[in-house]
Amino acid sequence: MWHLVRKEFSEHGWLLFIAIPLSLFGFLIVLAGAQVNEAGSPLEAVRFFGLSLFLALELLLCNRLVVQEYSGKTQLFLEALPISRATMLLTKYMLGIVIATATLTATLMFALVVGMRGETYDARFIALVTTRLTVFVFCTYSFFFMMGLLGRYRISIYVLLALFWIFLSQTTEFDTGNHGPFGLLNDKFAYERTIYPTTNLIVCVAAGIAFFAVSMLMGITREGSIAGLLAERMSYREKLFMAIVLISMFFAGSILNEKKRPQPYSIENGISRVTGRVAVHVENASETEKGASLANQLADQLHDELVAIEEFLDVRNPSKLFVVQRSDLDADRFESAWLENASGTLVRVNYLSSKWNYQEFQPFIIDKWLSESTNYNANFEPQCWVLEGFSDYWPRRMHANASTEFDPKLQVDLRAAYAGSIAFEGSDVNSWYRYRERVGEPIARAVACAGLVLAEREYGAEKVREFLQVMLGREQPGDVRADFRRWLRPISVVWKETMGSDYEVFQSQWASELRNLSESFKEELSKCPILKAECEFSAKSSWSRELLISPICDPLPQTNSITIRYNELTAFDVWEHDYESETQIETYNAGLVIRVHRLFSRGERIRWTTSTRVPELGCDVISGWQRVEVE
Amino acid sequence: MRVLIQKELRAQLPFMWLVLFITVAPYVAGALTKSFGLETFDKVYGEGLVNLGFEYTVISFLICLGCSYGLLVREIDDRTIEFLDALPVSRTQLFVAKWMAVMAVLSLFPIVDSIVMILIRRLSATSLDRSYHFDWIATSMFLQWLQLFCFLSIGLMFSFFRRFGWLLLGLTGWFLMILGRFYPQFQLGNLTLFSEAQFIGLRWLVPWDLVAGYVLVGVLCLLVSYGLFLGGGRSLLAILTAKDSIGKQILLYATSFLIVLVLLGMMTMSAMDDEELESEPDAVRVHFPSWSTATRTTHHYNVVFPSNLSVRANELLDHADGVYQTVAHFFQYEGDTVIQIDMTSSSSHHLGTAYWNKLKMDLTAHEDLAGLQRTLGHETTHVILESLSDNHLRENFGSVRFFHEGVATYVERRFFTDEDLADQRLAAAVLKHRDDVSFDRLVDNEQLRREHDTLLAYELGEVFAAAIVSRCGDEAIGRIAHTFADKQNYEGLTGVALWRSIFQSAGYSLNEVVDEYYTLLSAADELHSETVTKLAEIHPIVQQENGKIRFQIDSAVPEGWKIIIRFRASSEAADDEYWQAKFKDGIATTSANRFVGRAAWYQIGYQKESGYPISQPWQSIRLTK
Repeated sequence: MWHLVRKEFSEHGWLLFIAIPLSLFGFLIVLAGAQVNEAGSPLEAVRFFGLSLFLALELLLCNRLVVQEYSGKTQLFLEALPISRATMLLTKYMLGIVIATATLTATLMFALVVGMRGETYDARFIALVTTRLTVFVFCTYSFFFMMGLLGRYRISIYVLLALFWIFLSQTTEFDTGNHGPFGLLNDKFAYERTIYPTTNLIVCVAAGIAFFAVSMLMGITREGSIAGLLAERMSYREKLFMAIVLISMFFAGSILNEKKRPQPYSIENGISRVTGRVAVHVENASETEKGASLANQLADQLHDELVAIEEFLDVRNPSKLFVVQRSDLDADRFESAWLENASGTLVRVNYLSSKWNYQEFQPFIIDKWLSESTNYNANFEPQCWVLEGFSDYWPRRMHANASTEFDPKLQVDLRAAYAGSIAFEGSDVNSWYRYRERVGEPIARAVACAGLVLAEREYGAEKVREFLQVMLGREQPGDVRADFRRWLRPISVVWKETMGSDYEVFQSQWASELRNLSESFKEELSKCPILKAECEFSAKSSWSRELLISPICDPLPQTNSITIRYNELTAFDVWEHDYESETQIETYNAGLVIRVHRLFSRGERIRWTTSTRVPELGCDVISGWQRVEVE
Repeated sequence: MRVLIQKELRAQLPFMWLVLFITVAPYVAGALTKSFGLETFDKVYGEGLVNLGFEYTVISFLICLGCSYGLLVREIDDRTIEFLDALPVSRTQLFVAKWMAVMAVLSLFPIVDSIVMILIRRLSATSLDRSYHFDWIATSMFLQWLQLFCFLSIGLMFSFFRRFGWLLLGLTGWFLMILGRFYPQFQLGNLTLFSEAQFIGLRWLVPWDLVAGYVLVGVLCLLVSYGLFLGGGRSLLAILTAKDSIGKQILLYATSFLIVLVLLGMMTMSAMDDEELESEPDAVRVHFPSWSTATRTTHHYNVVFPSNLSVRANELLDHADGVYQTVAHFFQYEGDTVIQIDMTSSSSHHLGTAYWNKLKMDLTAHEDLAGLQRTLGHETTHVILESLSDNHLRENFGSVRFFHEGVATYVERRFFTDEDLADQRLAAAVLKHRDDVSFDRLVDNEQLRREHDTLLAYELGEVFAAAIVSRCGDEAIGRIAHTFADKQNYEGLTGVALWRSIFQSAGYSLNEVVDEYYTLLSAADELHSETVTKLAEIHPIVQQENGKIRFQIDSAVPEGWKIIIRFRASSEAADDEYWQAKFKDGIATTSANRFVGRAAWYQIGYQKESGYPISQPWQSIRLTK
């Protein structure tokens, strides 16, 4: 046996001579790092070392002692000697584990000496730390020893285990950091002074024994031929195959994870209304009777509304709706949330405000709820006008008793007429995002609504319903099938199929209808100002620029104020939400030049507009968002 | 030559399939989970072409290593080079043919990627920008290709060192990591061609300095591997495989040398700290004996402190159990673990630090008992919170830091100061006035660090803690911390979702507390309105000349306050890598060379003589490099 030990030393001694000092040197760096970073105890360095460099050292040891022997087939020479296979394996095992234990012991001793200046150590604590480390070494070394005997499949198995471990920690509630050998060296390692992690210790000892037993079995069974066969080198094709299998498994795991449907969101103190697939939950945030009554009223209104829409559009997967109260929001400010790891439509509003108006909330909530229920397919730009139009069309349908005649008393119709007076071409429908930036969201929505009203008048309510069902209702996939569907049946084809007319012809008709409408409502529109603005940059230094904006409002704004809105842009032009922009309010007068209260740097991209409130329209009118580069 | 290239291309066929598989597989996986037509432009080009990230670099590096390790060396190891030498082709031709074949295969990466990008762009372009931006595609392809070229050359060179190549690679990585610690521009993340791409308007600024580095390294490594392939490789093989060869000795010496080098480097760094030693080797130095340490155990604490501060330490320890009982009573905590306190070290960043059943305190930070009691109360709060949560709060550091610090600050201010809580919320009031108190950001420490100042966790966290107490009562904070003990209450969640789940499990409503949080902030804003209006936002005028950036303040600074400014090399820089500049006559300057990439990041704010600064969010300006 001693001869075997000598043989191992003569074969691998030079490597150990490098690897062990290097590891210890690494430990010193870790220890120094821990001191510099003000770690709680020098034993933190032992923990970090144990989980990193020490594992690498064990891997290296087993690679040299086991893998190299078997892959070089030199174990056959050893088998010719008058010693049993079990003795040969045991010698290798014992030699490796002694070296590993000695290395870790050295680090522990050193850390304890360093730590004695700032901490007091009692016997129980030392015994606890030593037990943890001893079991850790036994378990991990036995594992690497067993893996060494798995020969050419060991790397694939390492990768698989790593993927499995990551999968386990990310998709289940299993706490990987506190189980198995990692649990022995968890973040309590350096501080826990009394409680032994008994379960973990037992599990690790049992695992260590199992790994050791499997190793011996592989090394001894059928005269050691299993380990010998496994140690054969992998062919080039086998390597590529394994690589592809592993990568495929990785992607399959990520797809499974993405496909996993998150649990519906839930709120405390919720008032729920559920009918079939439609569910509405409104937070009852107030402890007063009046507050509860308002929450109930809102829940009823929303529930009735959504059930009717679900039936009208044949929505197959309606999103669950959650409304929470926020008293620091204005009554006309509604905010929707993006939910991570939960499903549903979540919005926050101030429904307890005395200025709360459900009619103002209606278009917003219909838009958000349908976006979510259609897997956002309704937001695809060429068909986005349908979604936005419907969110005004539906309430209008209720209030105007399904009339298809435009009425200047309805704000939504007046907004559409206003759009007709400033600019609307049929082709704007295909560039909806751009158009929405030109006139603002409420006006654009009214234009889209006018399109649906016109369609109903021209082709009948049933055909419009059929069209809306295809666009906003029924089954809406959230994957590549949606792309295929849009490719095979773009909106122009759906229009033709459901309405029986040409889409482009309708667009022209729609534009001319709005122009006529603006003529008919000329008197009502006379008070609504048209806002224009130009910008100029003035240099404050070679790189800092001041933004000067000159608005022209005709007629003068009734509120006497002009608001500047602006936000920074990246190089990637995407739709920006208005509420993300910064605002600056100024008093309007002719020839006004507004100095924006911040400086911009050359090369920066910004988006800006001016706006003013028009009470007749019930919304702001804007001079049009402009995306510019700071010169 | 053409025949040779064809033969090499055939040999690379399996790799070609692997490259194609790796490139296409993510898109196939993506097709099963999302609609490409709904992808936004910043997702498609931003993440697929421009900012590919460190992961992309790692994958392409691994693929290049895979290709290179079997390309030249295998001919030598398998001795097939001797057959090839018998053919009427030179080694140079062979080298060129192999290199061209493998580069052709690797080029599939950028080509296939770009084609897929164009297809997705075709599906998802909106009227806001319908351009395909072929200039970006060309830039991306060029940079990807250059990166692959460089990685392949490195792989080819290291492949001649066989298994020692991995060792050398590891050492190189190690060296870069150490280098990056001292010079941020050499951090691995900053050395990739696709991290934090900079634009001026719509023009992608190519990082020419990095490109030059890549070309230089790539060409050098390629030349070395060419030399080795011509004949040196055989000799190197002999060195590496011969028994008792000088190769091993060289390796040994080289490794030892490296170790000594690193040690010397560390010693030099340490010596550099002592300016006197470096500048005047003969100067008189005074060495004081180091102080010994003393220990004292109270009912709740086991303390080690420097004997030179015995009076101060004992004065505190006489009252320490009282501090503990106050805090424990507030949390209704009944644990009997003795807390270890290490008072031997001081820190430039913190007055104290807490761990599991242990805390560190800087005795030198305060001379007065009240100050020390405040710190002890603060840190004891941390320890008890961790104990209540069974150490799980620490595991969710990113989402709960504001809670940890906020509750500790709340306890400190409520029980260990005489001032009214609301009077101590000036910083929170200023932030509220600027509408800079978003709760969503507060719960994401990383976002807070990136966009603002992590010290907000103390000021705004305190208001959040007060909101919990105001809405749910004194016992609520302890109950919430204890809810963390069961992992099922938050498993897999982060940020607001985690907090919502925790509050729900504890039987409270997060919405109500957040509501109260904003109400308290509004109250603070009103209470401090006079001071708040004086502390208006600062917009410095920025000028760049001769490699210096100058920040000029032309507004008046309120009495008793000063303006501070600090900088970071990139948005990813760690807190301890920031640096500061002082304003003199309203002007502060810094060197443009300290910034990585083409953006200079600065954060400006007000500060009183003592106390936390009230900062504005981080801002960046483009550099004229």
